[in-house]
Amino acid sequence: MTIDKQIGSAGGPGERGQDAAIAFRLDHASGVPTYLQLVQQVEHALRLGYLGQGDRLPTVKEVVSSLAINPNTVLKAYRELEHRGLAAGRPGQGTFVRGAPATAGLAELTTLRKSLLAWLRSADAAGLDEAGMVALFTSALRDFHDRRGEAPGPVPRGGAGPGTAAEGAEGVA
Amino acid sequence: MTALAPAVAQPRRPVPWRRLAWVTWRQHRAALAGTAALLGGLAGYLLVEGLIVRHAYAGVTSCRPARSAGCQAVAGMFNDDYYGTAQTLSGILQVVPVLIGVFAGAPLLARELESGTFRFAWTQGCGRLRWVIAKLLPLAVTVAAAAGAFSLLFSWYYQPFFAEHADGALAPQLFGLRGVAFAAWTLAAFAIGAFAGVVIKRTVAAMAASMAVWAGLDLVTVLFARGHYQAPLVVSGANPGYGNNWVVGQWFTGPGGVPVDQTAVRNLVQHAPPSVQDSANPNAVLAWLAQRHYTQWWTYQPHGRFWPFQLIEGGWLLALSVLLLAATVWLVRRRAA
Amino acid sequence: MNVIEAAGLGKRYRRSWALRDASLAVPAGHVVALVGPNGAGKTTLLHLAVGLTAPTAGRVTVLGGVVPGTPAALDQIAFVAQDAPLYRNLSVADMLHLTRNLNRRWDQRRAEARLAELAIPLRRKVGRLSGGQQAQLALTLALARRPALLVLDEPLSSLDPLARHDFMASVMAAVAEDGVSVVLSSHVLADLERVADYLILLSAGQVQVAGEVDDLLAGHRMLAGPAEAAGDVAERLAVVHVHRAGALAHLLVRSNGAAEPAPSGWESSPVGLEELVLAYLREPGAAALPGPLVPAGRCAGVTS
Repeated sequence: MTIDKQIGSAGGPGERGQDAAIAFRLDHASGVPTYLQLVQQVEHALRLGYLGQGDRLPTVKEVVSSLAINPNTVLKAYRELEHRGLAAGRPGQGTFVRGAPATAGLAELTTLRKSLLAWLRSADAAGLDEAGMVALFTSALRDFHDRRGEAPGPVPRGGAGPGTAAEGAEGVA
Repeated sequence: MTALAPAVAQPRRPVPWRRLAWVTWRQHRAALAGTAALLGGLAGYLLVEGLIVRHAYAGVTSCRPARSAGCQAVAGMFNDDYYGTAQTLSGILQVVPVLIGVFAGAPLLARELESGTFRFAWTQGCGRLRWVIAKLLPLAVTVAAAAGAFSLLFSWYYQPFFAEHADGALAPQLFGLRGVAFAAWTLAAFAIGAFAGVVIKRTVAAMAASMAVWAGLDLVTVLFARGHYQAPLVVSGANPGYGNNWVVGQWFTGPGGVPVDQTAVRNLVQHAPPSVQDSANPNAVLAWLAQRHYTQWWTYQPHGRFWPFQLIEGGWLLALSVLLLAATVWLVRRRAA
Repeated sequence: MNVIEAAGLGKRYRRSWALRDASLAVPAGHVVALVGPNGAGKTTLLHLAVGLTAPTAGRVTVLGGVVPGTPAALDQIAFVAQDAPLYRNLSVADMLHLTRNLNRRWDQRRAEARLAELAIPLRRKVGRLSGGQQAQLALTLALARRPALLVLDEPLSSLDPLARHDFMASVMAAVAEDGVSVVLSSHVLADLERVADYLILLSAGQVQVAGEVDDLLAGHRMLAGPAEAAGDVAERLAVVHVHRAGALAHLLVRSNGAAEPAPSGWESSPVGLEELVLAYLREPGAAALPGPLVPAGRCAGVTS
């Protein structure tokens, strides 16, 4: 008895005949939350052109079958992608890629690069070595994320209650 | 944010018995096969041997003139040829009830408890009560029925020897193999095994303990209980055992009717004249003692009480088995992981 | 609906209490990790929840008020005990048939499909399967019963890393597909970190931490700063655990989230689940329990 893995594990009628365009991987040691890793992999694939408009993202079941993570994590990632305008779900068919991430324009990128080099020069003058620069940058980045409320998952105030996908009081990314 | 548990249809009917019976059958096929093999093999032998014996006995019964020296010689040859085997067989068959009962009964629960599979079985949808009843009842009935059928065959086989007055029906080595006793003792062994299994929780230990308990019970019954199911009859003089009755006790009384010690009688006999002591007639010694006013008394159970005794013994064994099985079920319901 | 609810639940074996005064309200639709050191009472709690044993004190109900061990509970809860007990001399197909005959609800097609996917041959005797295959078979049997709640007692402890991954992937796929609630126990948190969205920490027979993982992580922060100022911080904030190393101190504090700024001179960073659990294990007096169920007299986030 042969089981066609794709048809057998994919749930909906819309996926027949269309394979998922991306396969996720997980870096346990990176310290980045799982759902964010998924989001970043989609963004990265989009930037590099591996993913295009209309490509199907793997179903929740497909992702958890290969990564062994909680399905809610995948749902959270896909909701974040929808929130960023990168994906859209079609009921009964799956989640599909929509649009490209808003990247900064070329001029902005050049300006940012210049200011970054200036900062690197001052850091070097202050006596920081490369590892020190990376540590300082990482810490500041984390602070920045925290202040901006980079975790839009359900954070109900004050205790148990049925979780809802509230965006949190910290503001929207 | 979270996926809700699906609405699950609630089945109303409990798991059907025939499904649970399949489970018992599949799990204990080996025990049933072993029982079938053992009884089947013995039955086959009994059948073949029984036919041979009957054929030979036909020769004895058709001998004419009856009671002549020639015909008595024929009867004697019959006994020489076949009675020895019959005695050996009845000896071997003594252990069949306990073997079947313990090998079928003890591992039933002990193995589940020992290996931890009870944590699987007791969390299935059928529940512990149905599960344990479905395990115990079919096997108990099967084992008892098979044993009962076998004992019918044995009675058939032994018929010629009873006719020849070789043994009485109440003789200890035969009583437990016939009537309802064989089935009842097998059932009791099963019940003791199952109960031991749930109490001891180790298969081998439960088997050993069950065998010991059964053997003890058997011994106590034969030595003490069975002789008193009904008040034994008392008679003096000739040994009632010659009439195929079951002698339960005997003693001597001296002059004046006072009971006398066995050793005293033996000492007395040693002072008897050699003609009496060496006499070929077994009654010569008794006659000599009677002259000196020493009487031999007997208590015995007449052979006609075979069926009443069978029912009494079968009855209390059945009650014991039911009690033990009920206790087993109760313990399974109560037992924590 | 709460998939497990306990109030003052306790279990005593002979002289010692394996579980004491446990109060829980675990919501449905979650993957619940039950963690704690060996001997903490995890197996006892699970056995109480599935009806294998009865409480000595308090009470426990499952699936919205059903008493464990009753037909309604047995029907909807599938349990895989430690080391996945199965009848070793039966074939895989026989085990399927046997389990089907012991239950009222059974999905034979699903079971066969799973086994085919896992390449577990139906004719082989269970005793001849590898450890990973036996665990997968036990899981298949449990899932084919279409339970509302799946309870797994240390399912990964005897599996090699690949088998562990495959097993958890199977469980997660079942959650994605059927929405079944899962409770699994382990004494190794790392196994469960990625899959759990609700955590129960048992230590020495008592519930120390219980709550949604997201809430727990959002509700704790790690502060790093000068050791001599640690005492001041402890006055103002709910500190769970202090770790001093020379002049530097790390404080695990309960906070209201990122909105609360770190005290001046202190650096705040989020806490990982393992760090959180270890800190609580080191502070037996501390607890993090959901509000309404905190028994009187014990406050959440006791300062160390």
